[in-house]
Amino acid sequence: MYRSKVDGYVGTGLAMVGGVCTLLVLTIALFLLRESWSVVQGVGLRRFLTDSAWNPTEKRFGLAPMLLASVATAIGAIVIAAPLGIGSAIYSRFYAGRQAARIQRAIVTLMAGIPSVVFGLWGLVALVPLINKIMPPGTSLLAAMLVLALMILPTVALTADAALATVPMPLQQGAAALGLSREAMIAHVLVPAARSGIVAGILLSLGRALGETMAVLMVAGNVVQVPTSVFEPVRTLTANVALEMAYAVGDHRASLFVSGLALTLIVAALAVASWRLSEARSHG
Amino acid sequence: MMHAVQRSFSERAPPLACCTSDACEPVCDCNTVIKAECVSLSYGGRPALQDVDLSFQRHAVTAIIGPSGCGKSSFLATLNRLTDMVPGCEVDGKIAFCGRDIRDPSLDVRILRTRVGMIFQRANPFPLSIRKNIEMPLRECGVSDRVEREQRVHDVLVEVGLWHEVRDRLDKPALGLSGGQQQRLCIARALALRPEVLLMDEPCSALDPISSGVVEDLILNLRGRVTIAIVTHNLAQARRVGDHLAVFWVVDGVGRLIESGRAADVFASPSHPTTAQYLSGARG
Amino acid sequence: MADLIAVLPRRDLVLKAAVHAAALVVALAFAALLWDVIGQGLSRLSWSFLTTEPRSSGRLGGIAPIIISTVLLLLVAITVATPLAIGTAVLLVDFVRTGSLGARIVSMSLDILAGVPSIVFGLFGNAFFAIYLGLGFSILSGGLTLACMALPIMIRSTEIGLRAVPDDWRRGTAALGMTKTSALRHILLPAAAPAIIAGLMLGIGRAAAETAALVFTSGYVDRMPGSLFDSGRSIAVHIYDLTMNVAGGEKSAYAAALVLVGLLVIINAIALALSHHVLRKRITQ
Repeated sequence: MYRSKVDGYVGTGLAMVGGVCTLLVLTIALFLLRESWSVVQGVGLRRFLTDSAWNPTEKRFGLAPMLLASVATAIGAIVIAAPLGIGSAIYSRFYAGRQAARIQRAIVTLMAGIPSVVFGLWGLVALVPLINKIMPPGTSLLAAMLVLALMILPTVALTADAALATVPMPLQQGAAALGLSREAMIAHVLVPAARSGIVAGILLSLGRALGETMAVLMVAGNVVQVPTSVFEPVRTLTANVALEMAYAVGDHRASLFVSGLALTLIVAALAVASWRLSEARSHG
Repeated sequence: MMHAVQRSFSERAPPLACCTSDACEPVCDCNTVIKAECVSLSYGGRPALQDVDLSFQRHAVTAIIGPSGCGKSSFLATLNRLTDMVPGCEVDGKIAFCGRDIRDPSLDVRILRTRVGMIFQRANPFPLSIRKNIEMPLRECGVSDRVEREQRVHDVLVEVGLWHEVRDRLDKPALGLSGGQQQRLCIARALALRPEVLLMDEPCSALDPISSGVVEDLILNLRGRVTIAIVTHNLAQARRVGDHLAVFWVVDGVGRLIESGRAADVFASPSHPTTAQYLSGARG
Repeated sequence: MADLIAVLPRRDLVLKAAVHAAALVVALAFAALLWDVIGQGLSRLSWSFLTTEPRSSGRLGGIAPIIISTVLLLLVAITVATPLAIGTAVLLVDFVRTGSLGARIVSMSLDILAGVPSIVFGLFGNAFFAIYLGLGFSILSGGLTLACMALPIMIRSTEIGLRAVPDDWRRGTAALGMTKTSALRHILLPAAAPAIIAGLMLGIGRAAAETAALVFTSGYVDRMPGSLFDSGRSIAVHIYDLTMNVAGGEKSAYAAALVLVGLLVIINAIALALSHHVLRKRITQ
């Protein structure tokens, strides 16, 4: 096929630009591996899960409690945020009047734009003292879950809203024509029809919760331990990196890169799952 | 072998060129401006059009009619190779424009398209001013003289009967024009490039009856100066504007040309029974 | 049958109440957060807070050098990311066929990039920009790291904007014998400008809100940066530091948070105004 010369040059240039993105991913992977290689080779990945404690300067590399804390905070946050976010989306799509829906969406959109440090600051100053009154010390798994929940709420709400928006009109009309109440329509027709989109949004939020650092670091208390209740302080993988990176050297530094690598793999897997779901929806 | 044939084509005729000055030569003065032989077309391997042989006479209007889905619009798009833009679309056969194989890889498809203009069902003026809509393609094809461009803008606007309607607002957005005016602007835009052929894909079907009548009168005005191929759903329109008539029909799931000839003859005594039924309103 | 009629509305009522409660909780949580940030921040915020250097680790004084560092970080990020973002989006929409190998590779790279946690970008930025390229703890390292982070969202929204441009115009330009390049320059990119600018702003917003990626790349230094090779503390990092490491720093942290949120609101407002302006100008010219 004949292509104009200009388009040929521009196309080649753009291909190189596009290549930068791919190259960037490869470079990130390469450097994470490069920096963590010494400890992977010298210590082995197994000990990151089996060592009983985290004390890299004394060659103990147990990341398990922090991995557990990361997963626990993220899942707790989702459990809180999912019903609230989906409820908010249902409200603004099916219950609210034009004005109220606009306000609700504006709130969610504005919330999505608030930086995570601000959530962390607010959590530490406003939320942690409240929890402290119930059960000291206040900085805890619960505080982390609540702050994270607030942070990912907009993501859940916006994706759920978008998923509900794609439910075809005829389906709504059909349900209404059967004389279903609005609630029955929502529960049995509309939400199920938007289910894969909503789940994709939740997976995306879960990934974001797992990857969040600052908000969690500021309210979780950062004690490396397996918590026995939600009122105990925990340290997540991300917080650990942020706390220790400043002074870590040698195997210690390398093991922080290992936790970064592990985190990336988990989050990437979630992203792929979420992406597959929305793909399946758009094709099926 | 195929290659040799193509080469002999381009050696016989001088290469196509844009019309960049007032004194440019017509591409050819032969009687048959476009000659399509054995043209077939498929989308993603599924045949849509088969074995079409059709010639377009110089400065005459050829009306292409038939029911929806019979491939008449696709056929039109093969004539300026706009089919190149459709992923999975394969064209087979031979199409000659003034003695040049338009599928010759050495032919600059952009120049071809300046000499074989196209008007779409939906008017598609660019989001620019009225003047720029006409001027910009001119500049792109190499009309570097400002005065020449101004002159052409004036001439084509007069030609399509828009001049007195828009002379005071040439620098206003083209999207502010009415539907009929937009379509006439698109025709003006194509005419400014001094095309040998104008392909019109149901140019009136999205217009109200009055605008439709204006565009139809314009087509009658252009007859004798430009070769026109017009796809239309409207039999009465085909009868009013067509010198020649080509009837497409779906035979065994594939579009085919079932009859062609002088419009008066075909309307008076169709030779194909399906055409007869179609023209009498019994089918289609 | 009578039972059914009695039961259904009650279940409906519960759902209805739950939905309203959820919406209310979201709105209240936001209101509480905003109330605190504005209330506590305003008491400390003043003109001199914006224009003076911090004293006593930020408990006193202002955030002038921190604002400058933030602006420089964002400038570096946007200067690097914008051409890459627009170029890649144009490549994906108008130069490769959807589903082709090239398109799939680039798309997958973007999805992976979008999923990488910001702290990992921090690790990467530290290892690559600061140490491997020898840029050290500097605004350049930080800005480049932010550019990497913001890239996927900028590309995706530019891509969406370009895809939303009617194909009528693509066919129209092709039928007039224009090259893709001039179609992009004269029609497609201007038409997509609002979405492109909105996307770029979204990227800047994300970069401005970022903390974790900056701590090990642009560093902590709260002095006025002399050049892009100096370390510089962003507002977000400043808030973090005041909250975690400075006893009695909360008031200043809230004031800085108010400035940061205000900055983000302004960025969005500018984006909106600019995109309207650009669109109008392009149409009438």
